[in-house]
Amino acid sequence: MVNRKVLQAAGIDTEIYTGFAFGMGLERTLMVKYGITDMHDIVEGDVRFSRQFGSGGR
Amino acid sequence: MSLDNAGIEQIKADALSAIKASQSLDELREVKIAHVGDRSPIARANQGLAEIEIEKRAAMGKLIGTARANINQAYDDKEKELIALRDSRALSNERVDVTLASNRNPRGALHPLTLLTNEISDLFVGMGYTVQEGPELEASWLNFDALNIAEDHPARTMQDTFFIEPLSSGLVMRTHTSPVQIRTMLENEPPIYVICPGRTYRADELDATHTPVFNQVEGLVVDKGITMAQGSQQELGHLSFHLLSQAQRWISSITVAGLNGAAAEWLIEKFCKQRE
Repeated sequence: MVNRKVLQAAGIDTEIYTGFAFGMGLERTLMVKYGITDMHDIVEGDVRFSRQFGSGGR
Repeated sequence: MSLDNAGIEQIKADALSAIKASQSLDELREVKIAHVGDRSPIARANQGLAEIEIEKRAAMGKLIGTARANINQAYDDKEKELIALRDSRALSNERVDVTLASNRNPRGALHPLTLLTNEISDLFVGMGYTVQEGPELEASWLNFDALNIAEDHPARTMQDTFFIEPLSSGLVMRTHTSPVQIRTMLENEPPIYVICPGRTYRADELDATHTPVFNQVEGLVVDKGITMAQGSQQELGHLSFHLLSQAQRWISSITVAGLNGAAAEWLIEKFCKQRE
């Protein structure tokens, strides 16, 4: 749940509204999802890495 | 070896026909060894001059010399002809049609981070969310203070955050996509259902598990009657079920604002098991 102080800082009336928030790191998710063991593969920009994910035709 | 006119003529005829029959430079090289080189019949005949009678030697020498010159000439001509043939074949075989469409720039591919961002965005857009983006260079107030991260919070240290000089500028490279949520709330009235993908920055060295520039996706819901029980289970369940069949492995990578790890784990695991 979003802390009332955060909602109030952004001008939300916390008598009426509540909120929840969630988030995730995408690099981490990729590493878990595809079993990537080295962050370098993700950041170095080698097209041979990217091609393995099946987006070449788009 | 007996030396006579007929013998020389025969040697010459053999050499010339062998040269003429050569079809390639490789064949011609063999012919050179057999008919032109130092051990060829004509060379041996020349060496044999010393053994014949002195009065015949001049005439025979002239005959051999002429024959040898003919053979050498035929060899040189043939070699030039075969080199020219090889070159013209190479030119025609390796010819490039410069008017053809170029294929020298290999086709690129979308980065898996882009694919994953699109996938998650699509999923939430399908649930009625809108996609919001914000600047990567962000006001410190939006990145920290508005999010209830106090001045003395460890996340605000120099080790973790890229501050922009001069420090009085009040600018940082955003350390998460959360300031986009504040911007969204400032600019919009509830109900708010947004998903905020984007690039974020923290002062980590690049190694196998860290990168100073990384990507997050955050979601924010502000509405009447939003509770963990009613609001978030559906979204998180959809997200985790969609992303992974092995949902349990993924639990460690998600953080839920306002929940500790065990509560988040319980929530997601419960939902994924229901759907599986």
